[in-house]
Amino acid sequence: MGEALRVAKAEVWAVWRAAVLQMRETTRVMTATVVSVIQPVVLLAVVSRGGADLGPERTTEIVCGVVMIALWSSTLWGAGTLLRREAAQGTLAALLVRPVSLLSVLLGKTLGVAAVGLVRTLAAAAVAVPVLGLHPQLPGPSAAALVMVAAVVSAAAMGLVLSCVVFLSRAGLRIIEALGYPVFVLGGIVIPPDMLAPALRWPAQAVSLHHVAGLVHDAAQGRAPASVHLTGVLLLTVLYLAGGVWAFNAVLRRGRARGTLELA
Amino acid sequence: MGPCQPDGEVLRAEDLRRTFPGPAPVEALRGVGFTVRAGEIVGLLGDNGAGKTTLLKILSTLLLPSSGRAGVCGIDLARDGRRARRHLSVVFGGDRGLYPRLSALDNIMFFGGLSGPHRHLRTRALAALEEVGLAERAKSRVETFSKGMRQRLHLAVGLLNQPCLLMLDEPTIGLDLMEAERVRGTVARLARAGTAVVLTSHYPTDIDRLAGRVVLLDAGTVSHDLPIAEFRRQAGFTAEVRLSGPGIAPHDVAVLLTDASVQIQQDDESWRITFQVGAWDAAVLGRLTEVVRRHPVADIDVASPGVEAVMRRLALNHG
Repeated sequence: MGEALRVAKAEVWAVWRAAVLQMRETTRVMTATVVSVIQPVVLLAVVSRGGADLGPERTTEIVCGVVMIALWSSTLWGAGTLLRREAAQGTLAALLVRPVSLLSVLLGKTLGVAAVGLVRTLAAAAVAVPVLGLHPQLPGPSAAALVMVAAVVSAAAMGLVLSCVVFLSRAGLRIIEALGYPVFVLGGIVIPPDMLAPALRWPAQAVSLHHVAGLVHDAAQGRAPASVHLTGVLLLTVLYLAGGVWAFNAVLRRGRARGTLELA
Repeated sequence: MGPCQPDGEVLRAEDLRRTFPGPAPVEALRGVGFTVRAGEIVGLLGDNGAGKTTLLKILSTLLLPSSGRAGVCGIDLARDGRRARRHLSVVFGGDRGLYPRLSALDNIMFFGGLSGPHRHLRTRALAALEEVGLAERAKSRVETFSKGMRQRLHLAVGLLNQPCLLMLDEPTIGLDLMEAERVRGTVARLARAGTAVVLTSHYPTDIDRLAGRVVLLDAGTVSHDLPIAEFRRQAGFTAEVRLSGPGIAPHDVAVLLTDASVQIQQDDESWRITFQVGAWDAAVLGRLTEVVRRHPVADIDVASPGVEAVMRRLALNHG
């Protein structure tokens, strides 16, 4: 029991140290601001239609939707390329010889990426929204926090899966690029789901962003979050996480057995 | 220090084999076995492709062996890698493997922190930086560091958790003389404090200066596992003598020394004669005295054969 507790403490500590390190590193990468700052500002400018009055509910949905896209994009991009970057800068081997699981380190780093993306995106939106003359109805703090956490954790879990995909395949980055906008479309962020062809509506149920969009919609309407969306986000996030852990362990097992990990 | 006993066995490798599958499978290791005790520095040598990197990867748990076993402080590396990794540290050579945008302190605290919560992590990190002469640059970004400074930072990371076993892969690669000397000094101090060290290097000086024993790999097997003094004897001679003096090289030296290994070099204003002594005896000393008596010898230098000489001879025998 003592040993199990010791191991658990070490893993939690590793998650924390990795998150802190990644936050420091991410804040020094200016290219990351393209997705987390410039993209939401541009999208808000485009949809604000020169100050035309969209009505408070529609404006709230748009602002929240844009923020969600930015959060998802920055988390997916940042987390999805983590393993590849560690291998490229030669730190992967240094991490693998430590007495904690690389998965804990990766999880911490993913949360670090997500946290920086969240702060940057919210800061950008807080400045851009009044400057562009948008007047969204701010959802209550609990609803806003719920939506943010759901979006970030869910994107981080998917980022973990993508990180393994990117690591396994040299075309991984292209795969993320190719998947990005279909996911946004299916997720109901770019186009409302009811405007999709009926045959395309069911895959949306497998995209947690779709349920996050539902939560955004509820928050904008001032309604309590629908249980279908809450359950959807929760289940899909757990599913992504389980998939990510499985893919990660498979990558590591295969690498250690075959010597295929890019460690140098 | 971990659970390893002072002077006890820290590393044991038994019949390690590793085959890389493929259309033409490569047998990188074919039954490697050796041990390393606490406080011992073992030089791991071998030509490119001899299996050093594969062996180091297995010993650092980056790679699984096809068969055989290896353990650190009695803990099996393949079965209980996580627990074994608490007692070992690997320092990879080169200037990669660090986060360049972050400071030296950030890097060392991160990697050091991955061994579990420490109350005095920052203090220990600063002490490790002090040990390798980087305390004053603790808050500088690694991207501003020279290759040598990065190498020293790697070493500081390796020292932080006071491992039982320290594995160093080319620790002085790319360093200038002073920096290389500083790294060697640190490694020697660690070994004196009881850390077992496995060292690979393409620089014979590292092995000559540090190793107490040499394990030589050849085509995936251990061809020599000898104390350094005995390994040096594989060179086939006891000493290399260099005589030098002004003017024209005396041509009767080769006859006087009656040794086929005599090499004569003539420069514009001086000469240098090098020969190897198989064993010191009265006859050799007498002949050497005769040379010095007859010719204007300005300098005599006597050196024991180094690792390089042994490697050269072994390569010649192999070829």
